[in-house]
Amino acid sequence: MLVKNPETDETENDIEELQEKLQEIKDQEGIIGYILRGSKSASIDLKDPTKIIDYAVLSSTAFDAGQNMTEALQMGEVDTIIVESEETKLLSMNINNHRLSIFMEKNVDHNKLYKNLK
Amino acid sequence: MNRDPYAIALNSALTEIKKAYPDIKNSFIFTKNGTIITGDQETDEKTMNNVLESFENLKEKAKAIGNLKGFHITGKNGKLTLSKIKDMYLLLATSKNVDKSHIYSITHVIIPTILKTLESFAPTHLQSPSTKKLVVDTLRFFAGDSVQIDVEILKDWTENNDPRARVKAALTGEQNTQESINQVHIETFGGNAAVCKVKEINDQKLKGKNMIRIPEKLCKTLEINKGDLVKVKPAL
Repeated sequence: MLVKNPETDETENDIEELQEKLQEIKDQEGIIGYILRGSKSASIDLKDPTKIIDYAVLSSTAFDAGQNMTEALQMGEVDTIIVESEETKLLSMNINNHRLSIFMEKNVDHNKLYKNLK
Repeated sequence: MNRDPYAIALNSALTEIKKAYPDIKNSFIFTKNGTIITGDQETDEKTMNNVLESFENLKEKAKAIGNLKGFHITGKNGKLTLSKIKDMYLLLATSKNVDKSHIYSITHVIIPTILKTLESFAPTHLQSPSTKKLVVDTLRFFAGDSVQIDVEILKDWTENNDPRARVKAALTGEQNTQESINQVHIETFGGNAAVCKVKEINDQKLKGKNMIRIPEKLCKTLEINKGDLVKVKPAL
């Protein structure tokens, strides 16, 4: 008899649900793409594939910087990170033990995306 | 910490802002070159340096999306807002429920107004302080006896950024000429110091990394190793 681990199933379902949401999000106006990274796998969907490495490095650095700064300033665990340039911004957050970074144009409402994803 | 009158004025501003907005827990200001101008009294220099180190790394990687303008973190116990204001960055660490309009007022109205006012009072003090904290890289073999620094830093110093040059000009009444920097004063955190010739970094891969390349022999004299931080300023 196959015994299912309810916790694992729940997490897998959550990730599937998250990926469905991301598919919808990536088609929205102003969305450049996303990087979703778990401990064993990663899914990347960017409009410009030549930027994959640079964006992956930025995503990882944003999480590291977020963790280092919140530790230094005793702000507790990181909930969300926003990195803004003149034209582009990045929303990074942890969801179900996965690191998610969504790249978007600066006029996109990242709070709306956050509420949709959490 | 910088004791330039400009830094003192900004320090007073941060102190008063903190009194007016009790949600602010930490605040400090640093230049785009990574030099801390001033910070509030509760934030120690080690904390500022830790934050700055992470930020400098992020700023470098963020070039993939353009020049970094802002960085915001929401943590379980607070929020961090890092905003670019003119040629500087202001960091504000606040409670989680801080009023967004307060942050906006500080980053878009109060600090820019103070900077503008200071600029109109004493334009020369708006320049970055001369001392830079740079990461040591060793130069091997027949690299000569000069150290190597980013051309941007040398330009920054050349463009009248050194307060001593400004004071000298003010005292002598001579124009503060934009002479190129030929020598630098290096000081280690262990207290060792040396003055030596300086050239710009010629290795493209090492440019823009806030680095000083020092001949191995001089590293031994100064008792420093690759990766150490040193304080560097122009030797007039």
